[in-house]
Amino acid sequence: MVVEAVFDRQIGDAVRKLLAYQRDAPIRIRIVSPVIHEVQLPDGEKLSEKIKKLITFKKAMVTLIVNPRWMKKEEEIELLQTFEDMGVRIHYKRDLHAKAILLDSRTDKGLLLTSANFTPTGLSKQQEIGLYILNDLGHIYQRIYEYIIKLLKETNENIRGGDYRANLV
Amino acid sequence: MKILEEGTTVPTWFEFFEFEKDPYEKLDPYKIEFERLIWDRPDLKEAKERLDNFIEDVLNKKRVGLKIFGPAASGKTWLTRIVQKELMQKLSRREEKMLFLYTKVPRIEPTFQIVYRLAIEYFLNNYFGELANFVKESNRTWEDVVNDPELATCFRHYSSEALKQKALARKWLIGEKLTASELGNLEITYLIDSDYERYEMLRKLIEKLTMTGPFATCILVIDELENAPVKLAGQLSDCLRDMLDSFSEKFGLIASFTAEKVDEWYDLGYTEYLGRRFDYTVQLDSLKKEAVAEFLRLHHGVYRKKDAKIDDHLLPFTEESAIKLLELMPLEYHYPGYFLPNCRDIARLAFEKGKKQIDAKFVEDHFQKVTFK
Repeated sequence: MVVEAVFDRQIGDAVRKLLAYQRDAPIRIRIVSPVIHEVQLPDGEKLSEKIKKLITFKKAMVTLIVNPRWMKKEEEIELLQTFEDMGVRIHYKRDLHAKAILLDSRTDKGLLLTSANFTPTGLSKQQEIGLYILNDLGHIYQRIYEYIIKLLKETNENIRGGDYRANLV
Repeated sequence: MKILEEGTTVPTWFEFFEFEKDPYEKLDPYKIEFERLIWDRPDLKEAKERLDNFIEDVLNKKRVGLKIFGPAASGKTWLTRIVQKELMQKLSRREEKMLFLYTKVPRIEPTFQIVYRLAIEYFLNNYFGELANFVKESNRTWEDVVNDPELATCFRHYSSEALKQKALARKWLIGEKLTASELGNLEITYLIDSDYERYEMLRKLIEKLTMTGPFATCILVIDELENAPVKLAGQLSDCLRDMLDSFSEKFGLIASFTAEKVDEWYDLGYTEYLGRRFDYTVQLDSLKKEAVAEFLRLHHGVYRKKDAKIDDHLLPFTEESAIKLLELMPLEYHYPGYFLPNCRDIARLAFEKGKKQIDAKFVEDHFQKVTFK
């Protein structure tokens, strides 16, 4: 049972710990971040490589919610395409500003709440603050889980025949 | 039975255990004969109750929706086939017929076009003959029965002896591209070349055939929803919701998807609007050690030789060995689709050693040789 306040570069390490490969299937990961870029985590592995391994070898279900207004650059769209090709479910939520990772595996329930976007700047340059919880504060975990499911419900209603850009209207 | 020399035979491993067929063979549930399909999960009482209620609603010609979910290999497709069997048996007692359409979102090329095409192909392969007989025997025209000029023309061509016309009619109905002259040959004026038209055609087909055709009701099964990318999930949500809304009766929708928890419906990209329209949700839970022997006993029963001289269908396993096998398997594999192949591995090893009964020690000693460990 772990509850830790994490700051600056420690947030990247909390991401690494949450996405650790050695978890028991089934593994469900929900990543909420307005912006996401390719990031090298403290163990030297890229975020996308870690996710790919979890999907390929552990059959993890990975869901990503981003803000379409902040994911417009060519390299950002390319990264989303890479994630989608791996099997990540990408959802677009306008006005999204929350940042969190929620882990649900057979034996572990983990949560990272942070001010940092999952970008190299957010995880290694800026002054950021976060809270890392593993198998503790179940009621907090449950509230955040319910909030993320609510976000997904709203997001899906906006897909409108498969065109997420409806979110931008 | 292998024939060695004249008059000498050696039983195959499953005959050695007095089975008619390999009881553990991994088969597409839609290729399993009805007599070998049996409700073998007496532990899932709540699921069975909901399933029975769904079946009752279908028999009462209601508009009804059923959502099935569970992890991989938990038996979701098998469950839809069980529904098909029970409904067909119950309806035939009332001398009624059902239009049962099965389709799925394929892992490769998950598009609405393929989902539609699989449903139409299932209809043509399994129900068109029945429909053609109905038209012939009732002395009615295709136009009378189908009540739609284009669809009637297509069916007239599909039922004809001329193979070229039949192939063209099939091509048109499954939504493939046709040249202007091919379309002219069919005497049809438009192509089914957009997802909207595909959806409309499927809806129309169900509506016409349950209204004026020989079918008392229709069940549409859409399986493997988890394979749809988020955008397709949104599109399917709109279509299926519209379909449920557009029929006031004689329509059942079964949607099945792989998930640990029902909330994963939203991760997959399906909408609350559709989710709310399902009347029943059935979760396929894992096999528990208290129920695994009974599961295996029931499963074996439908594969056993009629003249088998045994007093327990659980053989060659025993209560203890069935439980031991399950206990040794990791929890994520505690589902029929993983348990049965492991039973097969153990049974084959027992056959090789000439062992008629498998005890817990044998399972323990040979567990490293099973597939799912």
